[in-house]
Amino acid sequence: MRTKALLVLMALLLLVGMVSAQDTDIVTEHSTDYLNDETLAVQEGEEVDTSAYAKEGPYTIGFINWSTANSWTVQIDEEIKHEATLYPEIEELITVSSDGDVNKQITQIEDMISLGVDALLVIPVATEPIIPALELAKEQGIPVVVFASAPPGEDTQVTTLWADQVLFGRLQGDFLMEELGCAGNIIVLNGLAGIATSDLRRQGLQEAIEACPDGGAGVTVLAEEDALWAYDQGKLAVERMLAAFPEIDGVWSQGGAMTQGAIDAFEAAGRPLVPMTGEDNNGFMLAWQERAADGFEAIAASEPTWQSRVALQAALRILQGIPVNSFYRLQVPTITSETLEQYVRPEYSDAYWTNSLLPKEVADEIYMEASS
Amino acid sequence: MTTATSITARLIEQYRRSPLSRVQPVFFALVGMVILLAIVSPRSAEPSNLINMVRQGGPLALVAIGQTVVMISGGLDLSVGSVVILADVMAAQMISGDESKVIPVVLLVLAIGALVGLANGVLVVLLRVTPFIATLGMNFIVYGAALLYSGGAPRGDIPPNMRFWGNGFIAEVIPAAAVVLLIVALIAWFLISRTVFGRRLTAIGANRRAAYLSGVSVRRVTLLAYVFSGLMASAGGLLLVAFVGVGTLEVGTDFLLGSIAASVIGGTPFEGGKGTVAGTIAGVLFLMVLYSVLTALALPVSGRRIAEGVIILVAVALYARGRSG
Amino acid sequence: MTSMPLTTPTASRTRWLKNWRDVLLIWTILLVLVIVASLASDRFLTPFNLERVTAQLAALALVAIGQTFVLLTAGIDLSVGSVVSLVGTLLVGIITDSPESWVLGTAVAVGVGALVGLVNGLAVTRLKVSPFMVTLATLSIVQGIALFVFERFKDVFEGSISRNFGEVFTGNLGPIPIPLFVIIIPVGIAALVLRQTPFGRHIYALGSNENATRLSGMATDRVKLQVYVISGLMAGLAGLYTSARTLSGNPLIGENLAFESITAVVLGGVSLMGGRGSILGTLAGVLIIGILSNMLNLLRVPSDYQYVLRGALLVLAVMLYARRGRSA
Repeated sequence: MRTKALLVLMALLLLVGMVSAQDTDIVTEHSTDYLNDETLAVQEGEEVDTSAYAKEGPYTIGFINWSTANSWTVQIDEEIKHEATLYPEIEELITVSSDGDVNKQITQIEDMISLGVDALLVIPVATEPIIPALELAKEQGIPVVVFASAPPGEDTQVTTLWADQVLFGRLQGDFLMEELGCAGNIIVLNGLAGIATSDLRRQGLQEAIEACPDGGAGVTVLAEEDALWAYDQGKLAVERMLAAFPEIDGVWSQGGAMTQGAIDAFEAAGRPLVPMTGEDNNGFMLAWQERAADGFEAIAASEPTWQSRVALQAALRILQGIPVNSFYRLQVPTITSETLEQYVRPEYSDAYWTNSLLPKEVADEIYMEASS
Repeated sequence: MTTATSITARLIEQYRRSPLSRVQPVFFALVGMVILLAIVSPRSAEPSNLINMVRQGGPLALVAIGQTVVMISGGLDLSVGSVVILADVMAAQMISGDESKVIPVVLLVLAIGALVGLANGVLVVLLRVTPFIATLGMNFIVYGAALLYSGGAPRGDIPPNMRFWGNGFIAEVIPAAAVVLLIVALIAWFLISRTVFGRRLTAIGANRRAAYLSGVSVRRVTLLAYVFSGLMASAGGLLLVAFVGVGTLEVGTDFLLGSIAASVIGGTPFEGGKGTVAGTIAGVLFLMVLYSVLTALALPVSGRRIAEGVIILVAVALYARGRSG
Repeated sequence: MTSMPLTTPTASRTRWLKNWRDVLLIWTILLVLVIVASLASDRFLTPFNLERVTAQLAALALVAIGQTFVLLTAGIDLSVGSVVSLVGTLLVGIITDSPESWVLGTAVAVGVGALVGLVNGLAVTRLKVSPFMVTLATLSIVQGIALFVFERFKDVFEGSISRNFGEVFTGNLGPIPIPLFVIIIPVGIAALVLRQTPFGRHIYALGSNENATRLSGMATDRVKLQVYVISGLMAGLAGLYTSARTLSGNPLIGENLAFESITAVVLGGVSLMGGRGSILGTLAGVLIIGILSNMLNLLRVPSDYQYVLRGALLVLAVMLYARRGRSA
């Protein structure tokens, strides 16, 4: 009986402690809590005790972006920079780009450790090769948050935020299979083999094809090309495919500007548009909207740019010793013809990504087109 | 065995005497590749599509013509890829959809390209830095400049009057980009084959010392070659942005290796001393037809890389044999 | 440069003098850089940081040593990065916890590298094709093979490399990090080979004046073939080291190594025209590249400015050599 009472008391004390800890949470104090917003990030994995990482501010936080050569990575930078400005406790946010080079990324992780950052955020170029470097960060007591790519190791990073890339490809694939009734010829536009995101999304398409009632026997992948998510390569690839294959029933594109290239290539060749998949970049969404009335069917999967802000919030929680979960599954709306209207931004440039939490003033500043 | 050899020898001898031998090998390779395309994918080899390949290769062809000129002089320009990107983001951002700005901005961007070329030339000629290092360093500098200029997020779009030159067709069959290419090619051909500059350029590439001793201003001619290459790289960037329609740092085409490969396949030896505009354009078209063949065969990226490498190796080996034989 | 007969002691001594002046210059630049770095950031001279920089540089150092041999003969090897990628992709399927697999893995790394080098060397000597074009072609082919292995044999070449194997190259021997040995031992051997053996002298002679060397009766083709094999072999070792460091294989990991190694070697005073430069210079070049990037990262310089700075410094350093070349 006595022990039970003691236990209850302890539990109460713990609860009070937690509540009071959350009272002083700087995330809720200065910003909107996205990390615990179930519409954005669903908690999975186990709760991680972060008390060992707890330290007083001001904080220096490092962020290693896998590249800054495309508009998505740039917006990821903009989102996290904006979020960082909200906290007086953040003394400095250091952002660097790995330019798609794994070797460079490993060097940057190690240099960030040398620099003594308080927490490190990474978008991996490739997952496995960076594990030893992340373990080094762990040894040095620097908490790591990984996002936008598959989790590298079991416990090398404190937490992972992930919009499932296989699911991304799967959702696109399911749409295409439904449009085609699991029968027909498709062409495939990938990013780049060897880059985790590209490989995983492609895997998702494969699952979608194999999930067809006949195991995908009715679907033929006519041709497949790595077009680097770029417009020029996407358009050139599709032009060649159109020339070679008289019957193309669907385009599975991983997204980026490649899908726009595909649309333009179909139109230039005078071929009727077929169902296509893409991503939520404004350029593609605008092109889609213009043609939706004429019956163009498309879907946009999304890899939200706001995730860099959520990742920063996770890092700030860890630094305060507030428990986080080991895994957060990001909730990603798939944009269909019905919801297209909500997302597309005619007044912004093609470089804008529509699944964003950037405040209007900030986005206007960066993306407003001078002419419109 | 012996008869076979002697027949081959006689055939080679006959070929050497015939007017055919004056046709550059790259044209045979091009025809051969088109035939291969017609076999693996008859639809791809239809005339309208073949003409379209001229448009697809337009930006690369412009860059490659500049590369050829530098290579003829015995040099190399590794900065072309970055110049293309800089031209692309600058043009889109400065024009920003305004038709009236097209001409002044195009001229300005061309001038900036020429300026980068001038910087390369000064490094190589006056400061005696090896072309490889001078232009590699410039490549980093210009790429950094493009990132800085665009703030990482390129803005602006290209108005219809300029997009036409990247995407449009004249009389519905002739790509406007092909016309641009033809005009530039004619100018470049004239420059290389019909002017004192061209003769000196070739002389320098063939034997720098001899050229110098015979009174050629090696410095000025080399400098001009780099200026020309910078100019052509920015022209390639302008044609690319007219094709894409918006400013972008995401350029998937490998202009650097592509331009060198096209020049070499087109008959410009890496060591310099000769080379033709027609050969280089044929080299670019050869690559375009090759890519179509690879697409028709549905080869994955790995197969593509292997095929590209093998073809470059075969091409240079054949030329080398031709030289020694 | 010198068109004198190159085998006479006087000519050889002049060459060494010239090389030594270049080496002195580059090590002075390195020293200045180290001083600047340690003044600019108190994080620079920490044991942890120096250990990391060493680990970061070992692969580049190995590749740069091979590249030095090739550049000294006025050749070039662009295929080294693809070799590193291919070796890593293969080793994932080979190296397990058993030491036998380590021997096999090392043999594969060295074998693949030497084989690619042999192909390069044969194409350069037999087909008389320019080294730039040959190795550009093999860069593409070997990269393609790496991607092919990665894409098509995922189930065989999957997972990660044994940690124990990783320790062999990345751990510590007493207080000294092993990557330091990975750099120093090959540098020492290469320096000895280049300075003390007839092979080394042939390489310099070949690079200085190929025609004169051939006329003097030396088998120039054999020397050329050998340098490409050495370069491939060193790239294979760099691939082995990279696998140990990353405990994995990635088909793109070596992508930038070719240009980076050439930059390092040229910074170190090796002329692209051949015949001039030394391994000690190359070592300094490698260190400069690594320390510069480390310093810029520690000083939090944004990526775009890093590009501009890197380009400008490369050109500046080489300008120094060019000026000296003229005055000498």
